[in-house]
Amino acid sequence: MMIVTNGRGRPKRWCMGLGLSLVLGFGVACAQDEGAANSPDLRDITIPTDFDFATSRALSLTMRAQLPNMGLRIHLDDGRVLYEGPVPTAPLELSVPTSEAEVVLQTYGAKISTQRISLAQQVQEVSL
Amino acid sequence: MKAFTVTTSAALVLALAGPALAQDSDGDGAVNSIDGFPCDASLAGQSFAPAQDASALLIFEDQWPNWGDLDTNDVVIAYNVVQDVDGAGQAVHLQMTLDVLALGGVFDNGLGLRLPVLASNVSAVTLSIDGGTPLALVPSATDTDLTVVLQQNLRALFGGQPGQINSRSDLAAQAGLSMLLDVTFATPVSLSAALAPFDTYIFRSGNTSHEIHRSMYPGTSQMDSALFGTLGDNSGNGRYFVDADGIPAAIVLPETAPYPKEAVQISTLFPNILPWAQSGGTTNQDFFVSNVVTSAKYVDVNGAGPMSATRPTPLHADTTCLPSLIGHGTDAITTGLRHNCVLNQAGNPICWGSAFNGIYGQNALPSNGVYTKIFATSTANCGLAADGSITCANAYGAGPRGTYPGPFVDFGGGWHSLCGVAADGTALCVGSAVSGLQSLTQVASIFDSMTLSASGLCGIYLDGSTFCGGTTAPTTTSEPFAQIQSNRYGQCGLRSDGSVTCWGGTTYLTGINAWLTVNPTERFSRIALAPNARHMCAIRLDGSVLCLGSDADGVMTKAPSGGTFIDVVAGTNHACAVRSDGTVACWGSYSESIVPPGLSGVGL
Repeated sequence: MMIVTNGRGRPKRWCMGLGLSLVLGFGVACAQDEGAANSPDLRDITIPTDFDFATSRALSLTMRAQLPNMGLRIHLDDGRVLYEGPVPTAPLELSVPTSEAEVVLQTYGAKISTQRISLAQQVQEVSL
Repeated sequence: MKAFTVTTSAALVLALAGPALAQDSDGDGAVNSIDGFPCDASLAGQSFAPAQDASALLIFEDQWPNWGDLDTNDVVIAYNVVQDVDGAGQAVHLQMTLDVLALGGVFDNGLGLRLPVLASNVSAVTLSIDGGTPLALVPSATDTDLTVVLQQNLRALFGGQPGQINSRSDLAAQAGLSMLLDVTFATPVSLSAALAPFDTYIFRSGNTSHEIHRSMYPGTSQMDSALFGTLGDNSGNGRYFVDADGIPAAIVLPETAPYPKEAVQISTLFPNILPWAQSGGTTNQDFFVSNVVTSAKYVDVNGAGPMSATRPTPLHADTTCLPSLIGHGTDAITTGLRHNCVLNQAGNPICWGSAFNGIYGQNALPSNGVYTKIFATSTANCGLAADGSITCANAYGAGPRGTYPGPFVDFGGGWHSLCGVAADGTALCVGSAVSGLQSLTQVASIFDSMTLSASGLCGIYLDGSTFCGGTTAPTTTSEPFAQIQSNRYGQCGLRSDGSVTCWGGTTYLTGINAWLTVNPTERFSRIALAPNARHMCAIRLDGSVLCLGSDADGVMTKAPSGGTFIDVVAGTNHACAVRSDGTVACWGSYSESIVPPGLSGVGL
């Protein structure tokens, strides 16, 4: 892990250029970091100070079942299951990737239904 | 009039629900039809993070409080969390599967976990390595919440190998040992799946007080707080382990995403992370799956991608309180999208896998129904009765449903379709993608074929020639195959001499033959093509099982290496085969692979 840094451990963008002007051996060392040297850098941008780098959303769903004996299956659009079982009486808190726009709620048992829930709101009440 | 309508609807619901809804074998208030654990009064459902049968990545820069090189591969961990919950949705039990995919740093690091649950409310916490005997972990006595060390040095999972592991493209990939953490709570707890992987952290093996956590966690009681504010650290305002640019030392990627190869920054692999971070996460929220630069991801010297994460081992759903599972039948095994069914000796259906698809409730055939053949579409189940009628339980999607009186002598079908064959060779085809099959005659049999393609329903004419059709009219195939299986990528035919050939599939691939090469000298008695994946499983003439193609969830690598089999079916992420002694083996993904205990006599 040979990294040329600017004193803060940051790979230097000018590493390759400097390497070309110096001895060949230094250039070889820089070559190990070519990906970083030629690529954009997270440290070159301004990041909001309170940004937490979260890649998932917390979704809290409180379910209101119209009938007893209803099962619930919650899955992402591609079918990946987040919850399966009886309709919970307590709020159900799930983790949903930020790449997803909605989740699908399917009931089974006493009632068969399907509805899609937008992730626009983090806390929602759902009537099943 | 309105009241009458409501009453009628309620009666209809009860009628459709049938006897299964009334049964609550474990008396936990969740009837069997919706109870994921019908014989365990303490459990009723499961929640998953990031999802069932899926893994997310927790990636670390391990140089903190020094500035890292942002290749974020110093420690790469794939995780999956399963919570077994009671009827209220509270966690009774937690399983966390952790696979270290890469150790791209130079430090030796250990791994710990803190759960937001009082340690005093934990009745057992164990760790098993690679399926070994679970060993009890000793919680930290100085932390109120459950805090345990999972590994003192993660290199132990790689045989103690020093140096960078699975981050350099000039070296071969190394498989590490998998960890399974198992926590049982004394009383059920509310544990948000949104917090997964909870406070999973690393620490220096040689200095355990040098911890590195995600930015919302300040560290355990062992943390050396004096490290905060030193060198490049800029912790403060409720955020920890972040540098002066606000970049955390640990990040979660909520999917099985690639990670950067050595010394390549994460922003090179995921260019959209830049506008995402700059916007405070409001734009490019799919940066980890969109515009990924594949040349920047880690692959080993052979071009193979990161090691696969282990699929979690589920808490086995005890079904011993349910009716006997020992049975015997013909045409006795079938697989749907995420479930399997067999017929027992009495001809009764027994199903397992996803509870949603055909195990209980309105997608399930009556457990006391008697059939001579069973076939599952993607979500429904159909049975051929002795009187020649076909009954399909199908509460959800398109496809056959209800009873077709026939009489039929055979039937088969596809993803959402079914064709019944009468004794005179006429066929009745129902469901989707069968518009070209409405005038089928001279048919002897329809092959079971979980096809997703428009021309994928195949059968055999009375004269022995074979055909395939669907939304298009049936066309005779190039050879009179003994069996044809079809999926979205093409068809495979089993010749009478036992050889197999595959063709078609130009929509998604350049041709299935380009991917699925079947040794022309091999001879088989049975083939099964997965409906929605690029693999095939087959029975050799010596009774052994062979799976070819993609290795989705270990379908290929986990196939039985021994035994004598007589039949095989293939799902998208799993496969099952019937042994010559009537027992069943399933392998591949999760719940579909958990054969009910005691199941035997199938297909004899």
